[in-house]
Amino acid sequence: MNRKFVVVHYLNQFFGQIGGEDKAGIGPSVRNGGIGPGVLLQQLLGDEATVVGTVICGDSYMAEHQDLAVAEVVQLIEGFHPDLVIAGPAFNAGRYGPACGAVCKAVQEKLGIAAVTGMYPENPGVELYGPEINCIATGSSAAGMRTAMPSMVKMGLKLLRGEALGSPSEEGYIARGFKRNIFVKDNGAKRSVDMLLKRLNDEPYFTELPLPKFEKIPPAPPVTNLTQTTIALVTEGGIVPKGNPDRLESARASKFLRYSIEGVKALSGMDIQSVHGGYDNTFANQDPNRVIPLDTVRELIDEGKIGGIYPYYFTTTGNGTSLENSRKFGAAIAQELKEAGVGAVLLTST
Amino acid sequence: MSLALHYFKVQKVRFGERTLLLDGELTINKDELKEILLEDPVIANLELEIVQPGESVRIIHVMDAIEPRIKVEGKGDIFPGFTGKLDAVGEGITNVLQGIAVLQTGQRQGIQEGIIDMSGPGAKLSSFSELCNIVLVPTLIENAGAVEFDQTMRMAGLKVADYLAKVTLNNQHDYEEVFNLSVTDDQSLEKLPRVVYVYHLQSQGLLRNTFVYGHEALNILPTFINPTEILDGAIVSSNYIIACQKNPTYLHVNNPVVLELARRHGKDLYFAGVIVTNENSTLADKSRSAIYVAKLAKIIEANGVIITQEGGGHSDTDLMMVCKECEKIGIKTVMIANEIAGPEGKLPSLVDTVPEAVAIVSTGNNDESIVLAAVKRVLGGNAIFGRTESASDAFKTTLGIMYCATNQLGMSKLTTQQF
Repeated sequence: MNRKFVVVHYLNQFFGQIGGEDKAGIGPSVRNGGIGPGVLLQQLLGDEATVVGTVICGDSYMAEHQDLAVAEVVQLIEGFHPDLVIAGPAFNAGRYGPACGAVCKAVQEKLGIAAVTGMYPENPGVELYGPEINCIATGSSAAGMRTAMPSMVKMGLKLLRGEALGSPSEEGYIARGFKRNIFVKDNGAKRSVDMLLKRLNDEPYFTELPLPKFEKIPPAPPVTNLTQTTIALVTEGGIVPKGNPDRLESARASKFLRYSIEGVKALSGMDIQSVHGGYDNTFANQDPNRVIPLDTVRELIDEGKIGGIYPYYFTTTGNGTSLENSRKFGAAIAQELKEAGVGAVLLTST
Repeated sequence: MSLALHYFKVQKVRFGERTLLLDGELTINKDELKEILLEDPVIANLELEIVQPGESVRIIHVMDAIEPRIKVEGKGDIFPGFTGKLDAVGEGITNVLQGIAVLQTGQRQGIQEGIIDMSGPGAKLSSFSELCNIVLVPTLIENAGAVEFDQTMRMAGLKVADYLAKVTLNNQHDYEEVFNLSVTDDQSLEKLPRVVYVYHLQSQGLLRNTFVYGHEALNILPTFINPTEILDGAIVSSNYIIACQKNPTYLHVNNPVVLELARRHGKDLYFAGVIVTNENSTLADKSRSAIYVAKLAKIIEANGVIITQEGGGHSDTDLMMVCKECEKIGIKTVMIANEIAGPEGKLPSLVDTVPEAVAIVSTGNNDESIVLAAVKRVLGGNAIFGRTESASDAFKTTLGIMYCATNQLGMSKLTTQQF
């Protein structure tokens, strides 16, 4: 296969040599071949690919009519039947970056071809489109063109050839926020000892697992009028009717369930069990009230210390359950309880 | 304290008339071995199978893996407190039957699926795919409770390992490795950074227990242990729950961190010792353990610690608390962890974290999708947990189901890369 790859370059009015800020309102137009940074682009692509055309659009036009402008640009690009689109680089230009990001995303989605751009990591385009596009990290100004373009071309050619991309630090692109498993030379034990010795010798080292950040959830304020409050019972302890009719998972739960406790004085091991795979269920199965303290709550209601109880208990399995699912379960349970006028929840964990 | 490991390499295993090792071939008298196991009244029936690397076989419901070892010089026996008499181990000579594993299989509520594929794409994911495996598939008597199940399964695996290790006696070993970790007067060692290994065990009740000298580690105070005691089977697993979040007995005696530190002792570091500690269930117990670990590390003047984990979820908190307590008193830390980061690696990998956790080795993301090929034969059971299709089919699943693929003791070469 000796066919050369076909590349289209996207530029703003400034790099497209139409003019400065005074021309920023100009709509999309087309030039044959590469111009401006496109000359360098063609040099770097060498014999493997040809820049057949350049699509230029003013930054303000793009910012002011974004959906329309992107559609127009994509249509012009499509006219060249390209294999790859290179956009920018936009460096730290505040409208050009988002424009490049929007064009790359649209090209990938609508034309099903690869696109590469380049931006300064603080360009707002990175925040808007970062996870969805291939974006080389560049310097903040056009002075960085000579280092940015080679990385963009290298990445573009790899995508064209269907080659696997290396890490962000190897390839120079801005991490898209996802991970893949890879095999490396040394086992984890050796890597841990190497990393520790680097730390102890004050040498640079890289953690393989940058810290996730968690939102802090402040505890709710105390309930002041418990005698007037209806409470609900919610657990992650995997408490279900015996036989697990709704097939709650013993780990990695994909759902939460609710079961009626209307008129039930206390839970019984005869008809209730735990399916949680993360703890020894013997004691919970003997007496499920140890996980869902219905018996005690009923007593406290009889004594007038608690206003009432919501007629259903909620249950899931908190055993390696994803944060995403846990958030979803929490929000849905809270929504129902709030609408029902429940004032407090006894959340039992195992 | 010096321990020599004499390695006897096994390239092939088969059943035959006499149990013996000859020119790298291990022959097992199946009837004799079955008879020993059937002495346990809880075992009603038992299948024994042998699989070699490259065979079109899938082993499912894997609970534990054990390497046969036997002491030939020095105090005590392998697996002290279980099949071995109780004495302090870790000195003398130990024979290792290398290249094989005894695999215990079984199913009980709470035990999640654990798979070893001996060929195809799955074989690249578990280190046990590279070994000749002796697979135990016991059928227990009806009404065997969880306690009987736990004890019988554990002891059966250890008994097979003990039985097989005896073939090394009166045989010539292929090579040896000597671990001499004694305190010496060698001045040059004093300049080396002092490294301590903090070894978390997960002991949280039936089927999720780990034992030290036969003692359930549930609620132990953190304690010192010699690296060579670990190589002699002082730690035995009965943690059967999650394929990539349980550390098998095989990897306790072959603990990759212990071996790495022991092999580098006197070269670029000073291996100052091992602290074993349990991952407890309550915050107060976690706090106590973390503070105690840091205190012990300080007593032996650690400059840095490697911290490993067993399990996920709230055991992330144990890891983080030890990290925090150590860093607080100036002891630098590196942790080994595997990730539960969602199929694309976009979710938070651990459920807890502290600002001091700046150096972590990742052994891979359990949630990434993998595709396993169809196989000719399935051992260990009939159906893969949660699936109705035949266990021999090709199917898509997640990495975390592959036995020890992202092992938390740092056995594999997997890690994650951000994209």
